[in-house]
Amino acid sequence: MNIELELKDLLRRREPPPGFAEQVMARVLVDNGPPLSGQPRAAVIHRGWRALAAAALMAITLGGWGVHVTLRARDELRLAMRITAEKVGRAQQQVRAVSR
Amino acid sequence: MRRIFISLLLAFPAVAWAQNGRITIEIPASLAAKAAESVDVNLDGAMLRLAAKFLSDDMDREAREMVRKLDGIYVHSYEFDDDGEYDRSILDKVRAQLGPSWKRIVTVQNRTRENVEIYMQPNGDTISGLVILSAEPRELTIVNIVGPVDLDKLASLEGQFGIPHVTKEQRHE
Repeated sequence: MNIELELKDLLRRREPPPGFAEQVMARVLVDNGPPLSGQPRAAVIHRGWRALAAAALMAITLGGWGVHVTLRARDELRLAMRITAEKVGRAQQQVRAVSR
Repeated sequence: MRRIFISLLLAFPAVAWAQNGRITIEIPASLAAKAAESVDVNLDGAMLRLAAKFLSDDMDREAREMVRKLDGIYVHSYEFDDDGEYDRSILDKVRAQLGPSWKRIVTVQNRTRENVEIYMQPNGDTISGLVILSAEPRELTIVNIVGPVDLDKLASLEGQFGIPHVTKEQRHE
């Protein structure tokens, strides 16, 4: 498969399963324990959403950076092989021309 | 005497490295600044294997397999607007690293055009390293490939990677 198509497929937006957000929020509330005294429940939920958004942003950034590095390495490899093959090929041509 | 000893100590790692097919290519920053076009590729084994996975179908399987077996590809190539803009001592420094384990297999000398030297480091039936020095009046290229290289296969790759077979004369037309 074409590399661009593979990457598009990997990075395609996928909908979470039903009830995913509720499960995450419930887990956040469990992990954070009961709300601190005087801290409204809405504030805790808001904090949970922010943490989730930050984690998602970090994952997207790191994933994008990894893809960028890999594609750059691929392009550099192609360029390096192109130059090398050209040099070896030309040297072989000249050697053959002399030995004729 | 002390200076000689220090020089020997400094030279030792480079020579030891060259035993493994790898050489040190020291290019002054001013050279790249002077060049009209420059290419600096430094890919170690891990990056090569990663990049090889992302090579698409325009390369044949053999080429991909060859790349996967390599431990590094290092290419430095500079093109200049005028003749003689680079210091040829850069090449001497590379040659100095190639000890007796390296064999010069090709030398193409031409006073006005391209001079090419190809060195390889044999390891049993295979090659563990390859160095190509190409010096033209307006172009300098140094290539170091670390790992098992098949020269014929390598030459046959010309025409792949999105470029046609090109002769020197065609290139300068």
